[in-house]
Amino acid sequence: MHFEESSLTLRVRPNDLDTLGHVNNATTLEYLEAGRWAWLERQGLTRGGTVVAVVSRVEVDYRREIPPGDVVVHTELESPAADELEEDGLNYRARFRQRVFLAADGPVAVEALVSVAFLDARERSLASLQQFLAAARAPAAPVEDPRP
Amino acid sequence: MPDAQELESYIRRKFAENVGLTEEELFAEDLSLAALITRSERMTNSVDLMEAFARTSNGLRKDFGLRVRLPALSLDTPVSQVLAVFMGEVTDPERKSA
Repeated sequence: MHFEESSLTLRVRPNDLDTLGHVNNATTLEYLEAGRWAWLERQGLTRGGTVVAVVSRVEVDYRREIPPGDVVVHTELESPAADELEEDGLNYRARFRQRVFLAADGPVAVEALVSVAFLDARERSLASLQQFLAAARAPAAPVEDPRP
Repeated sequence: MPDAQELESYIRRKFAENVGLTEEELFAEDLSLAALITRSERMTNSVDLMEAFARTSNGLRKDFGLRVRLPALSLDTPVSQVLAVFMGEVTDPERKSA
């Protein structure tokens, strides 16, 4: 199984800035989360399935301050590697490597490793990455017509 | 096809590798899963534990063509019982083919 790296451009909002005039460290976590949603979209995976991803660990290195302007969030699945991820195998953890750049050709400002696990939303029990992918690839359930 | 003793030896070895403990540490004291997580420097929570079991399961599938379904296990389950669950799965003829 192979997944493409994703790239998401975001505009820094005025309320993202702290008293020093740069993006607050906690706000960067929101940028990273948006980057992971973009990664899912890039793979054609949909949200709202019965199995959901939850963050289990975040490691962040802040390299440079982020001033007002655009940032670009790059997201790639680091683990399991392509040869460790098989449709009929089992994986309970995935780790993303993410980088936030200052503009498209700018230097890296933030590097992060984000681990996620998967939960069956109904059972509230751990699920596998394979179950998550199956649920995220399934066509959305049709919306019932509310008319009588 | 390996016999049951070889399979048990393989599962013990893989368990130990994947949780980052020696076989002796893991099985001599028959650690509970909660104690195992605490003892292992490589594990933080039950996600890490399930990943370790999954890696063992994936190894059995790749090396022997045996499929293991992982049951839900409470954290007070002793590791000997986990081993018994794995052995029950790999020696069940209806579940052998991967």
